[in-house]
Amino acid sequence: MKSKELDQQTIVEGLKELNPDVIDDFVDQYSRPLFGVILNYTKNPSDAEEILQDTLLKIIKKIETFREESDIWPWMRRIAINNGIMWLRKHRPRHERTTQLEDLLPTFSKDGDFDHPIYGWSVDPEEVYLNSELAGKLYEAVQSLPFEYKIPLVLKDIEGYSIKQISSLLGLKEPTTKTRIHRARLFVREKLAHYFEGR
Amino acid sequence: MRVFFNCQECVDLLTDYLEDALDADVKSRLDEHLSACAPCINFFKTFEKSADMTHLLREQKVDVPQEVQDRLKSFLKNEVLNMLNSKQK
Repeated sequence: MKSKELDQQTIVEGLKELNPDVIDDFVDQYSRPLFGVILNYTKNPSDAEEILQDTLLKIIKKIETFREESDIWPWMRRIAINNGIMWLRKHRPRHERTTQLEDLLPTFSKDGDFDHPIYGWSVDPEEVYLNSELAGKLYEAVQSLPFEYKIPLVLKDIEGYSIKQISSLLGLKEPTTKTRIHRARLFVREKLAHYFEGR
Repeated sequence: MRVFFNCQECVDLLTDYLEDALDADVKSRLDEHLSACAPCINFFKTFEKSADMTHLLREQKVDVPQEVQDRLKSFLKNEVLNMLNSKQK
């Protein structure tokens, strides 16, 4: 049964009081959007559930620190993002079995010209909303990036963080962050080119 | 002497270009190459389009199955009980 949608003040007060009914409504209302955020850090549903569970608990435990005059969703989203990053750092496989980035970067002749034809795409970016196959290919491309490239790309292109914010969050120097984002973008573009060009 | 970029050098600069982080001379040399090189124009547009499409994953609609929601509620109820008990001690 779908529960009623609660306003922010009711949720904040209810979570502070540890009110069980409000906690149930809070799960009904926010587990889906938070799950959507978390699935950008892992595509494994049971791992995502674990991160979601921890995120919901953290939100309840930290609710006293939330500044009530601000919007609660970006605050919750940040907790989910931080949890996703922390989880990936902790559970990162020692020998990742991901696609080799170098195999999918553009290649050039010795004079620096492209050594294969580059085609345009007639697709409108908004088509991602309408074409689930395209959205799936794009999602898979991002998820197949090695950890050290995936996180900066997700934070930059999905979350819209600045290079400076990402560098500070990940403890990287800004040129390193920028290089990783650039290479990750080249990789994702190439994966999509394979899809659009039927390669 | 003005040095012209080749395609590989242009590709290396695209993220800086989108960040508006290139100095004026480098940007003008990149623009010069882009205005005359069809493969680079296609590459630049598809590179930008790919980043724009990636951004739209931000709004991906996902479902959380009812049994997962039930597990989450039951987990949180237990945790809240523990929190209340430890507050009373």
